[in-house]
This record gives sequence, C-alpha cells and structure tokens, in this order.
Amino acid sequence: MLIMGNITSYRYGDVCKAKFSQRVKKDVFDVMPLNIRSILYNMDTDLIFSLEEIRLRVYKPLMIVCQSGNHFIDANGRVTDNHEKAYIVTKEDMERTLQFMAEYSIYALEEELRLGYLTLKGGYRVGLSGKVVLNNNEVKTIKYISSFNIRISREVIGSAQPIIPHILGSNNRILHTLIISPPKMGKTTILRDLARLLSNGNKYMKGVKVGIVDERSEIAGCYQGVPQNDVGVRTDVLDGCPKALGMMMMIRSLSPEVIITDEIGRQEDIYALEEALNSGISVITSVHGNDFEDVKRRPVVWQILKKNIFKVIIVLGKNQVPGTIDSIYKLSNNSDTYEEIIGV
Amino acid sequence: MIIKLFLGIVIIISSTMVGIAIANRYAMRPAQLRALQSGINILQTEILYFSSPLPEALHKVSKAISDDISIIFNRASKGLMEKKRYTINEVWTRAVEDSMDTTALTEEDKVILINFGLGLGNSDKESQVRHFQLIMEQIKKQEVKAEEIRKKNEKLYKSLGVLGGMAITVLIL
Repeated sequence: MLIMGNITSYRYGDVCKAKFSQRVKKDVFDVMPLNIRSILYNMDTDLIFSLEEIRLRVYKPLMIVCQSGNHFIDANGRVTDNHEKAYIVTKEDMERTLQFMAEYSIYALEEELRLGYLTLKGGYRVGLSGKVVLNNNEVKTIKYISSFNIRISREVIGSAQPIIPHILGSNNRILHTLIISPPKMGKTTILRDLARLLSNGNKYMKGVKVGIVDERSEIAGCYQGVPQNDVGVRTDVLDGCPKALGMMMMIRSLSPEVIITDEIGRQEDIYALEEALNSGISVITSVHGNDFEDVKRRPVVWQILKKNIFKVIIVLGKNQVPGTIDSIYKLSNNSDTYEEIIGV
Repeated sequence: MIIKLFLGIVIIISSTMVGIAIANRYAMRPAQLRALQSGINILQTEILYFSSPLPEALHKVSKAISDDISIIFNRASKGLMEKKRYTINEVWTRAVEDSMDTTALTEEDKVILINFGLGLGNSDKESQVRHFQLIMEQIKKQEVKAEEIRKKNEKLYKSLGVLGGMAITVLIL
C-alpha cells in the first residue's frame, strides 16, 4: 500500500498546523456572526486542524465533524457530546451567517441557491438546506435556510506525487486515468494535486496545459472565478460548468493537453470522453465506488470501461484511510484486460 | 445723512441674504431627494443587471451622485467593507442616522430610508425589484411634497427678506 500524504502524517509540523488554523479562522470563522466566531476561536488548535465540517442548524446545537467523529461545541468552545450543554444556534445567527457568506449580496447567489451550495473565499464549500421553492418541477431557490454544512477542504501538496510515474505512457504522454474512491477518501484532493503537478511540471516531465472542468467548484475552489487552491500555472478552470458541456468547450477553444474533471457517470459524459479521446487530449477523472469490481456494476461507467478508454485505473481508500492508494490497474498493450500492477 | 443711507443699505442687504438662505434650505430638500432617487436607480442597476456585491455597488453610487447625499451611501459601503460584524440593516440604519445632520432630509424621509435597509440585498432579484419599486415610489411622493413646500416658502422668504429689511430701515432711521 502506498501512503500518500495522509493528513495525520508526520509531514505536518506545528508551523503548518498554526498556518492552517490561521487560514480556517480567516476564511471560515470570520463569516460567522460574532458570538459563534468567538466560540470557534476558543477551540484548540489541534481541534481546528482536524476539522472536516462545521454544521449550523437552526435551533439545534452547534456541531463539528472531525476525524474522531461528530461532536457538539459549548458556549466556551469546548467539545461536548451532551447536546443539552452545547451552544444552540439561533435564527438570527443563521440570517447573519447567510448575509456574511453572501458578502451581503444574496441577489447575486441565485445560481448557488438553486444548486444548494456556495463557495467561500479560500475555496471552502458550504452546503445549504431549507425551504425549497419549485418552478416547473425544478428547484428555483432555497429560502429560510435551516442548515449550513461548511466543509473544510485541504490541499495536500504532493499527495499525487507517487502516482505520476504510473500515469505516464511512452514519450511521457499522459494516459487516460480513472480514480475510484469511496466518498471523503481524498479523490478530489488527489485530482487537485495532479492538476498542480502536471501543470507546473515535475521531476518526470515538463508542465503541460491543463484544463479543469469544475462542475461543483471543488477541485479549484473558485471564488468569483479565481481558483483559491493551487492548481498550477498552466491551468484553465471552467468553474461551475456541467462536465460534458465543459469538456466540449475546453476541447474547442482552450486546447488543453489534459482535462481533469470530477465524478463522471452520466450518459452524456461518455460522448464527451470519446470526443476528447479523438482530439488526442488525455482525460483524468474520478468516480464513486469501493473498488474496481463495484464500479463495473454501474451501467454507465461499465459502458465506458468496456470501450477500454481508460488506460490506468487507480483505487483509493478501500481501508477507510484517506489518501491511500490501494491498487493500480493498467490496460496491457496487446490485450484488452486490466492488469493489477500494485495491490494490497 | 450719508451714514444713515449706508446703514440702511447694509440692513437691507443682510436681511435679504438671510431670506435667501432660509429659502435655499427649502430648495435643498427636493434637490437632495432627486439625488437620492438617481442614487437608488444606480444601485438598482448595479444589483439587478451586474449582480455587483452590495458594498461595491454602494461605493459606485457614492461616487456618482452629489456630495450631500452620497455620504449616506459612502458610509454604508465603508461599514459593509469592514470586517463582517453587522447586518446590512444595522449598517444602513447607522449610515442614515449619522448623515441626517448634514442633509436637508426630514424625519419622515429618514423613516422611509431606514425601512429600505430592511430588505436591501437580502433576497433574490425578483423580490429586490419590488423592493426598489416601493422605495422609488415613496421617495417620488416625498419629492412632490417637498417641491410644493418649496414653491410656497421659497418666494415668501426671499420677499420677506427684502421687505423686512426695508421695514426695519424705515422704522429705525
């Protein structure tokens, strides 16, 4: 098993921890109302460092999710598992949070409210729920926001380094690659770092033009169109664009050498993938799933796999440890079968 | 005799000026209400067509209209750009209240403006359109009223200034 920059690993010294918590404080805590802000500021640095989610629900206890599971936070910023002792989020807190997150411009968030999430400066994603307003059977907007789920994303610089040699073919051509991983196991983190390494260049190759189609604003974490995560110097990002459409736009006008996109699985994605293939552009993408066999059972994904479009398949996090590679499969040159080259 | 004539002229001129000054205050309010309308119009365009963030939109408005009124927008914009602490409503109310002394607006105008802050920026575009329609109507009404008061009083105070000066001169000399 290859270990790739697990977030608990030795590479994170105290300096890095302090820096990370500074960033979270500035970008995330400071969009909360003053009272919640001061509660969160009182939290321990180690706790801030292990944060995965902060959850605000109206009239419910303030909750965080970290590596050790979910906990409530009391009015002094201490962890508690008794919900009666926890700080209860008020309606006013929710309204203020929305105004601050929206930069006082809720009218500018129509698209975000329709899709149910928004992106904060710094690239943090916030999921929303509340009263859904429908129009012709489609979600028009969400009003009376009742929950916020703030996801603390992290860049793990260098996490994709070990897989670079596996995705390079002859003449250092980048092979079509599919990453398979269960949720929260580092799929997006790896795609992000791959984009950075391929775009900046690495010890195996010079940098190439990278195009990211970031449908859910998770890879580059764009805020007002500007990537908040380091995705490399030769990278173009199409933010919030549907994958199939975005891939076609990229192919037509931005001439990338690699297209990176998240979570394929719809019928129209196949067509876009083939189009990219025919234009000689490499595609690196990911799909939800526990392992190779699991993914094969999904009809659309199976259609793609059957065509042997992907030359390399990488499986992550089978053992529920984020950021570990479990196995790498490679399509052999003369036969149509995938061979496991690294296994557990 | 010459001294008396001179004194008389001085009295008439100064009372005329006092009259003009009072009349001007009646003229200022409709002008400021008009400036307010054009300001709110610009704000509406910024919000509905450009989706600019509110602090930025308010800043643009403050640059585009006359000084007396722009101070409200300027204060609101600065208040929102500071570290996020207060809601739009709180910042706007404060900006309006702080600016009352330096404008010719009345208490009635103030209440209308403060109510405007209640929904500003706080909903989708559809609701914002209605919100803007409402405030524009209200301010238009205030302007018409202010204009009537101006017509009534402006001439009155101007003539009162001149005539009053003459009366004083006749009486004391």
